[in-house]
Amino acid sequence: MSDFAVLGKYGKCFSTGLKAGFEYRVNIIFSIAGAIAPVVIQTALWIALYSQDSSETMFGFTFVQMVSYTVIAQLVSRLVRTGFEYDVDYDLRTGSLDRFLVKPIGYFGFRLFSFLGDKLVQSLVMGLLIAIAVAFLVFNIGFPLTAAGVFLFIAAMLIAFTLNFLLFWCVALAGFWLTEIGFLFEAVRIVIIALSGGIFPLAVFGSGAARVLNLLPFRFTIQFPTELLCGRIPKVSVAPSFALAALWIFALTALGQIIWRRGIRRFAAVGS
Amino acid sequence: MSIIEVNNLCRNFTYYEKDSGLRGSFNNFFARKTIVKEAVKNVSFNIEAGTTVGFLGPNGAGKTTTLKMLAGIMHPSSGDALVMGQVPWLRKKNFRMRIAIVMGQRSQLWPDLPAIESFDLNRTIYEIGRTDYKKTLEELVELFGIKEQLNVQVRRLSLGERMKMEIIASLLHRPEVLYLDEPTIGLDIISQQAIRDLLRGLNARFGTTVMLTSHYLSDIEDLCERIILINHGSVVYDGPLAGVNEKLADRKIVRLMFSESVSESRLAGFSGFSGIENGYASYEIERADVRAFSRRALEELPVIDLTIEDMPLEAGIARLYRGEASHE
Repeated sequence: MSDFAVLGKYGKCFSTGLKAGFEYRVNIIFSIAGAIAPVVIQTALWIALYSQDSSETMFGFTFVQMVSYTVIAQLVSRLVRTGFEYDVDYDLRTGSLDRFLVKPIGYFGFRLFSFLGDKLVQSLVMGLLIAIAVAFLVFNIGFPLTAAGVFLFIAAMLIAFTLNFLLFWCVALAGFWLTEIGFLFEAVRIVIIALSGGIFPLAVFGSGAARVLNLLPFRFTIQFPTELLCGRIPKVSVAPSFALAALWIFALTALGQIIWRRGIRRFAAVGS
Repeated sequence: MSIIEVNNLCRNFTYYEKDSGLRGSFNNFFARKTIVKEAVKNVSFNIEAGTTVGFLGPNGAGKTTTLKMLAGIMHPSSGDALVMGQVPWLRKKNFRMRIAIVMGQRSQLWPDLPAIESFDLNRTIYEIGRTDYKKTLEELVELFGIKEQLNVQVRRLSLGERMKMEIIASLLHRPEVLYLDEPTIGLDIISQQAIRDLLRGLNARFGTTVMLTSHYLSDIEDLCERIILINHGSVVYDGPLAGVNEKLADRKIVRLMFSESVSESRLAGFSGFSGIENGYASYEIERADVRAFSRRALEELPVIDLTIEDMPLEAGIARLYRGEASHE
């Protein structure tokens, strides 16, 4: 197959997903409302905590840093949120995976690109929301925005999105072995968001836990891009962090491949 | 030349047995008793290119399992098959480019988008040139008469319209082999007829080899020159549809109507009793015994009407399902 044909296939998956994404106008509005509500609640919580405490910083964060972190991290966690896992679950549970296996297209590529397309509209809206939030923070509480921060943030977001997709791809493939995994997704999502620093900065868990969590892939999905934008990551550790994230992308891709191969053998009932 | 060759294809499934009750669940948690079910047993047949073959059998007979193996979705436990000279379950790209499967209970269309979007996606997936695509699509849309529905969200289509779209989506790349698994399931009589009309002549027009499973005998009667009957995983009949009747010509249905009511126990005293329908008591009788049976019935029962008929096809096939009639 020519490279062009491959690009064409997945490009088409992307644009078809995009068209499907446009079908849900109400969904987009609700996702905005759903993103803003927790931001307000958490910000109110930190305002209360800092006003009670006389010290300048909590968990190494000044008030401005903490509020900025919370607002941006909440929106980032929305931005990287997946949703394709329910489609994978459906395909595995009902056997609808059949319809892809008989076609000359890869299932992973199909799901990735049609999901990217489907997500694009929402992502643009969420990106805009982040921009508005940052502008608000800059003008109201003196958030230290830099060009380098924005650039690194965008690069880290691409990695965050890829990692989150791969994490949920691996979780969704559990459907090859377990019949009902829909309930699992939300549980896993909450845990992953917590371990990613999507609720509190990881420092809140204590320095020992944070050290371990810093090595795991999760923080790259929320905390890492957020801290880059906030300028909280020392210059020397930016490159090594990106390298570690790349390593995790590589590892999770390999893991996904292994699970997929074993799962598909089971699905096609090889040798049983 | 055979386009599909199947030799001693077998497929076993293993599952677990669970005793009833909490104790059963508890025991099951620690030690499971494995049961092996032979879904497909030594199935062999060849199919010539360009023919339409009906694949019949009751629920759980192994029809879908066989089709899945021939479409490459499932591995066999043993035996082999060649479709267009290729082993299906290796799922080589060259194989996938040349087949299609339509499953009545599964959709390949995007529910939120009009069918035309899914068709266009298939165009790139199957690497169909734009001119070829346009030509085939126009031909199919005209044939299926669904021009107006092309731009309607698939979820808003009726089941019959959706099935037409599913079949179009599967034909765009002009597959050499098309598997249809229950394409008329759940459809009303008129939609069933419409789908049938479309499928008829498909092979004349596209040269497609079609393997069709269905519960509805009319589908098969209308479309297939040959049927393969499968029951309990094995082929019980393979030949022309008319042959089923010939095979069953050894039995007749005798129906009796009486001037006064006769108790069912008395009716059952005559062998071959199969029930009362529309006021007639019916009996399935060996052809050689019809004379003797009729004479005895006329003498002993208050008969006012008597008819002798051939077995209907459904009944014949049901007998073949039960394995009562032998097959060569």
